[in-house]
Amino acid sequence: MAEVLQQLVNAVSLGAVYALMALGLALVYSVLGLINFAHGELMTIAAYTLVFSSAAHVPLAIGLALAIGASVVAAVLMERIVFRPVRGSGPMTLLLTSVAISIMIQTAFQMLISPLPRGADLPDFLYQAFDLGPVRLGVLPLISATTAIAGSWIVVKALRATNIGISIRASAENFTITRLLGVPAQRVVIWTFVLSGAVAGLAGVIWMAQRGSVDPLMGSTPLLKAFVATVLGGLGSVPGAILGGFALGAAEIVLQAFLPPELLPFRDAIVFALVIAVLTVRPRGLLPAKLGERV
Amino acid sequence: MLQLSGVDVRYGQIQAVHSIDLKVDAGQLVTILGANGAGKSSTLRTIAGLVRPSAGEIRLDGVQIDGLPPERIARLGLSFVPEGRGILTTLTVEENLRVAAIGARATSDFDGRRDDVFKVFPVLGERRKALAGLLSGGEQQQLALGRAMIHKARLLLLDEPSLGLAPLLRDLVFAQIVRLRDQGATVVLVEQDARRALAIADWAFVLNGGRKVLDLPASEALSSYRELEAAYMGSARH
Repeated sequence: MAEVLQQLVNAVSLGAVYALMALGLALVYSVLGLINFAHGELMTIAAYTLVFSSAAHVPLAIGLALAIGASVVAAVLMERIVFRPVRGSGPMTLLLTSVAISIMIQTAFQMLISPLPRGADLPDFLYQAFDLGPVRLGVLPLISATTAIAGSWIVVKALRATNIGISIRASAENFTITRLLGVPAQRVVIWTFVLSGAVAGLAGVIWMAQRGSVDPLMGSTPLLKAFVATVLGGLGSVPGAILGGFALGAAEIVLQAFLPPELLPFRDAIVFALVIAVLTVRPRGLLPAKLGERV
Repeated sequence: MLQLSGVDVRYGQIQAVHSIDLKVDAGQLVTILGANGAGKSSTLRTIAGLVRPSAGEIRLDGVQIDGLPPERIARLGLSFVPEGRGILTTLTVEENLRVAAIGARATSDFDGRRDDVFKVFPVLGERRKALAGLLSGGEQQQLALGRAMIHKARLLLLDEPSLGLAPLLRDLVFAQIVRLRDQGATVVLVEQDARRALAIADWAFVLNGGRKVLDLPASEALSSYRELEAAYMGSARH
């Protein structure tokens, strides 16, 4: 029982971070039909910002704000410089553009900072653990899960309750109709990137804190997981991305805990095989985005 | 109010509209008639900014609007309800209305305008929390008109508003179109039920093969409707 509870805590903690990352990808995809493969680099930018500010003895709270701010600014610049010129192009152009910018940012980090990992100088209490009944809780996983869930919740709430959020959802369903109603396309796109940059920044600092360091390629693995989670949940569906993130996290934890040791190296392959199995039954994902009428 | 001069519309090699001149005075309800493929929808889509004319110019109250993005044209007071109504099905009824208010920069005045819409279309008030995709065709058309009301559009372009509606709902939609005109809106109506459109219209344009062939008062068009139908709407019979 204690073992099951323990794994449940781990699954929620990992799933919440995947959900947060998938949410950022899904937001941009839902509005622009663009899978932003440079989303992982937004996470890396946030992680480097936090590492450098803690090295400069900036207080943690300010460092976190700077990190998320840097990721937001990077996302907005990315939209302006890279994605706006190819807006409305075919899916392949958008895909290759985002892969290209991802590689360019990784290379820039390698040349300008260092190819080697840089350790994070984070407070010790994050890496402690305490017992709650039979379950041993790490402080960091607990904080990760709560902030990731809170972050996702705030974004979902904002999409329902704010003018810009409703405009984003309207544009995701049918950009043409939304513009015919007078909503400026450009503003919707910029805000979409702001939100996506913010969740990427938050996910980036959480991811970095968990692994203890940042390197130029840090964003690759989470980007892959987030991509799988969005496809599993239903590409372009925000609730789907969140569900997909939790499902992926749970699958990884369950396999990690119960696979025989000789099969453990194949954990990710088995997880992806499971995802493919789900997609053969539900090709549009667990919670598909509804297709709007097109004009 | 609205003036098109020498407007051409092309989709690649195909020319859908040939050098059309239209003039709509403020407060008028005009209808554009013609067979399928005559260029009616293309004309409306071009005025709304979804298609750029390949030649000619379009002016709204003297301001040149061809080449502007659709949201800019909408903010100048034009509201286009496309065929199929353009309902945002994954949003609720109230959210659909709110998007119109956001587009019209009227969110501070939203509650009042929304309640006015609910007065005219009570069913929208009853179903305000429902997803718009779950509404019937008639309710969706009311929602589309409701969004135009929120917009307080000065110029309303309606493409086939009664298509697929039960007779009773058509009456409601036509009555509301007349009411909007009486409240001061200018209306350009494309409608399969041409007789009925002429009955409420002030003026009529007839298109054929992408060209304007007639430009006459609606009453004249109505009195010579048989000849008109035989000449220009042969293929429009459903």
